[in-house]
Amino acid sequence: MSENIRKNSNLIGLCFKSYITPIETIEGFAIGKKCLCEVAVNTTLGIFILKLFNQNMESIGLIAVNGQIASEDRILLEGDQVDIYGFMIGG
Amino acid sequence: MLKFLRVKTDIKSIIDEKVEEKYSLLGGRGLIASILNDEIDPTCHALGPGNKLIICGGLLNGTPAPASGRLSVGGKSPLTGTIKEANAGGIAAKMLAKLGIKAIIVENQPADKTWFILRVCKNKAELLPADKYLGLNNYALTKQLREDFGEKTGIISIGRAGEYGYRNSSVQVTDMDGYPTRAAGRGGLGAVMGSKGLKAIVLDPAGNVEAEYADKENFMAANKNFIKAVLENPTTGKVMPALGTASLVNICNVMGWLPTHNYSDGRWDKAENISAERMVEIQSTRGGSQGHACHPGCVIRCSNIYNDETGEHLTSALEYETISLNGSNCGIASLDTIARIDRMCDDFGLDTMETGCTIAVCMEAGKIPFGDEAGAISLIQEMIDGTEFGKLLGQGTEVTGKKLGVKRIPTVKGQSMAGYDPRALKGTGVTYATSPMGADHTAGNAPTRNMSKESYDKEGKVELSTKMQVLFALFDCLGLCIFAAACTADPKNLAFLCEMMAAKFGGEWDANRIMGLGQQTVALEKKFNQAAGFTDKDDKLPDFMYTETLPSTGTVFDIADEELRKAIPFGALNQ
Repeated sequence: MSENIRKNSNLIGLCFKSYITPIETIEGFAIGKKCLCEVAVNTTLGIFILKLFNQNMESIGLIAVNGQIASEDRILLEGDQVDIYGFMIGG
Repeated sequence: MLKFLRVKTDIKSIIDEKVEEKYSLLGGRGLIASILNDEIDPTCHALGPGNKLIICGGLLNGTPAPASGRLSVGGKSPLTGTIKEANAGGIAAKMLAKLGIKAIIVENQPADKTWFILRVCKNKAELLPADKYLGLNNYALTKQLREDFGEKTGIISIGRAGEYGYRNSSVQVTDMDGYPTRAAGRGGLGAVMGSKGLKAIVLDPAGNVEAEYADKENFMAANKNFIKAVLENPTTGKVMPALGTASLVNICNVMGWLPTHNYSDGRWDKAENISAERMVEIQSTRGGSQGHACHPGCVIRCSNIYNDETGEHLTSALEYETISLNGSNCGIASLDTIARIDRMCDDFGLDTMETGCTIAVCMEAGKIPFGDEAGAISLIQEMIDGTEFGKLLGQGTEVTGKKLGVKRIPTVKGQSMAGYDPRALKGTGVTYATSPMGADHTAGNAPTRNMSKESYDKEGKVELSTKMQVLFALFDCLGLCIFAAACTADPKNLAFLCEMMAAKFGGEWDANRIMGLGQQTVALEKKFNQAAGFTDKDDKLPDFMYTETLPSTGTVFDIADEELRKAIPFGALNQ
């Protein structure tokens, strides 16, 4: 999603993929499938995750932004790829 | 009442044997550890007449417990010289239970070097000549055996790798589609089976023995709760059926412990190409699917079917370990090529993990470059063809690496590591070092619950590894898939399992008693290894893991030997 076509300048677009089902409905969501969503400018990763998973937070094993482990105080930026993984039990 | 089927290959006799009381509460890996301690000299040659091959289900085999159809295969390993249990899915374990068999014990060797198959029916077991089947690899072999003995026959078999005595050879088991895709891969047990002249075990599907219970109603009630717990776990209930174990590719890459280029890095910029997500994309265009059960009654369904470019079945269960060790670890970014390697390994009867690591040390030695897909396949073909170099490769990663002068050989006690670099995933590193099986993640994979950069610290990892080694040994004793163990992090779910054990076998079962099965098993395995000549000095990782910084995390394996010796602190049980 490009900033060029975004109608609301207070929102940014993210690419989101999760192995945990969010409590909030996200259009096109499936386990492991990339989908697009919008959040307010200056949203932190922690706020974003809390909004999507709320009481389901203990199911999350790993959070990555752009393929790197990320902390919850990271400010999300336009085009970030946010990946949520569950607890790893080994292959 | 279940029985032992004892096969004496030297005199071609089969004995139905009553199970001694001392074995009644042992199953799977625990039963194997106990019998091997009781019946064989730990210093015996693994491919000689003194070793025994034991094949059995777990304590809950034959019940509707979820994921309880794992088949354990054990003996002294020709790869490691240690005790070894490897387990697989497939249809054989449940068939054994229906045939009333607790374990098949194969002993001695035919003096005339003849080969045979063991056919087991409802009221009869017999040894039949294998002339017709000798030299066949697993796909052709199982097809022929099903034509000869029935389409619904369950088959446990070896390919030519087992016939050749390769120390990286597997025992394969047919899946629910009849393909020989489920592997008891580790430790070269295919060669042990071959050393007995046993090409295949053919199980008739007409068995009708029902499981016995102290209280069937209570068992079913507790089982229902345990199934619910497994399905409510986000990983076993959602991720595994959707993406399978390949879902670990991206997780391990983010964490920086994905083995890359013979463990020279833990993160790979092409990891996405070999991920579960990529596999699902491929399946959407040519067929194949996720969400298959690897054995009857599995509710986790992490297996998959991977088709070739024409839409024909290529392999089943393209798993994380196979993908990482033949993919990123060899610099191979094509799932098609990795799937072809998996097919070749299943067919010829090779451990895919040992094979991937062996190819990678060849790449490190400069035999072929990293990323050389055709070269990797040609190395496997050399093993199949039995060339001199192929025979060397068939002795596994450590022997091959030493012969080629490689300094960085990722093995412990002669067995190659799994798809987790221990410099980053240190709990699993402790397991690699201290497990009685050599470098084996299924002996106790030990990620911390919440993964973050703190995961790279060494604190608490010895204790975590010990806990996981006991837990996984317990599940291997029960015959349950270790993935079902994930939900037992919640004590109430472990309590359901205790209720199931009480309802199956009677008596009081609490957490201490049930975990005692795991402790006892590891203690027995340690006892065997000690008698075979192993000491604490063997419990360590290869030198480069202590000295060479892993670029992805900036860490080395820094858990000292004296700390490692605190892992598995119950060797003194010596039961």
